[in-house]
Amino acid sequence: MTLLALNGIGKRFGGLKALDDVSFDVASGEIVGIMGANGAGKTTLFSLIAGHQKPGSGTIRFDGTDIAGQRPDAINRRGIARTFQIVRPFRTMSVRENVTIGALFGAGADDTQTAERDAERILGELALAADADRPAGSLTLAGQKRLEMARALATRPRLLLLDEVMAGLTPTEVAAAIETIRAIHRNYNLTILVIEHVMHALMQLAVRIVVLHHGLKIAEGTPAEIAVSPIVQEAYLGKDAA
Amino acid sequence: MIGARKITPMFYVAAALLLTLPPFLVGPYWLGVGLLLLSWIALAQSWVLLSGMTGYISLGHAMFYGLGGYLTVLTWQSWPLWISLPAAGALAAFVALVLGWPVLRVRGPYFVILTYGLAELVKFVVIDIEAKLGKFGRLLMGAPPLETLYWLMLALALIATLATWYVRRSRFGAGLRAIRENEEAAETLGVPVVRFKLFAFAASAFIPGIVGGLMALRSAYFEPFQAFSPVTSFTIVVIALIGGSDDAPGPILGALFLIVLQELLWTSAPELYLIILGLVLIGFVLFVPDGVHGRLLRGKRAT
Repeated sequence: MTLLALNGIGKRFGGLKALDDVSFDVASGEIVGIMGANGAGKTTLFSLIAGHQKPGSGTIRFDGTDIAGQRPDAINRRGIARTFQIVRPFRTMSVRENVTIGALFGAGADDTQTAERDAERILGELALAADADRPAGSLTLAGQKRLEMARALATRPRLLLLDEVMAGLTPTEVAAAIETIRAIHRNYNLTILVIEHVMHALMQLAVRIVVLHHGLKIAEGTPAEIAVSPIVQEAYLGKDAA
Repeated sequence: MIGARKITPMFYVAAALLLTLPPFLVGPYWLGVGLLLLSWIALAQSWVLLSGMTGYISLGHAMFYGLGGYLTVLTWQSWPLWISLPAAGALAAFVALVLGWPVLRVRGPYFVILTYGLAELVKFVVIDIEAKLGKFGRLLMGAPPLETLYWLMLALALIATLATWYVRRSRFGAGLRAIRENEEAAETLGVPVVRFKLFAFAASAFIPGIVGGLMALRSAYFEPFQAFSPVTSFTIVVIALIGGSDDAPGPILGALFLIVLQELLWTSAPELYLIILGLVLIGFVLFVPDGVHGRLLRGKRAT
């Protein structure tokens, strides 16, 4: 079943086409990777899906409804959660409070007691339990990336958008993050769209990869197909290498 | 923890009950001081509801205070107080609701300046209306006695304090504080930021409307320059800065501090009062940014 269907998505910033006629589907339960160089339009794509920006053209269907142009909080309550590439914790609140806010609002919109219990469980699953009482701003980068995921997860999404949650992490931390993402994907019946620069991580996680280049979708396929695609190699390495 | 959730509001109610006694015990001077203290507590608590929780610093509360006073004066002796005072609050809340829609789209210093400018605008509109009507100040005949005003103000201060206490612990308050910390992140987590901000702004305007009505009755005189004086807005911010703006005890401590300082200096050395207040403020901003209450809390946690 198709959970998310993007059709002819376009977005301009002045004369720059950030995204141009991008279309692809995501089936329920899939992990789909988004790949592309800096400025390819990956984060813009997430911003459009999550409602932080309105698409200039095209439709974004989530579970059959066009959600393009709705407010981010309304979209989150429908069941789409995102993390930010540049982390945005509630700095002076404790890690626990950060996650509890996700559980209090979002698609779950729990009462206080349920929210606190959910938050506690998620803190455990994302290895944040030991830091639960610390101010969120005092976490390490790896910790803050996990907190982004924990908060998003607490809103009980069906679709999770992960924006470079592994950037800046050590190889050990990357390996742990891959395991964590696999675990939450399994335990919460999630569909995940993941932007990642750490290529081997993307290859391991995704069943399918969409490649963006200067706002255009230039390829789509399994990790194995993408790895040998001449179009992708040309876009990444230049004509001579292909 | 469950005990504390019930004990604190009980404590505030008990304190308020005890504070019904001063009219029988002290003379009009000290009762007037008491009225002033309670009015600042009520005003600062309602300010905390918006600005303390969301970080949208309002310098517009003089507008709500003035509008409440104006409506009470206009309807004096035609409407009974039990209608005109709630109406004063409702008018202020309504104006906040209408203005909030465009105003709450801007943040940080822009919001501060915009609320200040709007309050000044409304002040001059009222001055204009009064001038067109040929009124240069209105005298109120037969205003209620000081005791009545004191008890009404006590009730307002209690309501405002309980409101802050309750909101601070509610889902609504959690959403507001998330907005203060990071608005984009808050809305990404499903916090209905537009609705919450608007509701907080309106709720935050209601009490000042009634306080303005009571204080107009207290002075038995209405003059727009005084009723809409921006000093009211500044004083509220000063109280919140000194006391702390994250929870109900902050405004109470801040208002107490300000009234004591005023009483000590106002009569003996009025020229020193503003200088010392200025120095105190600078000291708090630099060294105690979370106010007396915030500092006390941190002290408790550290031990």
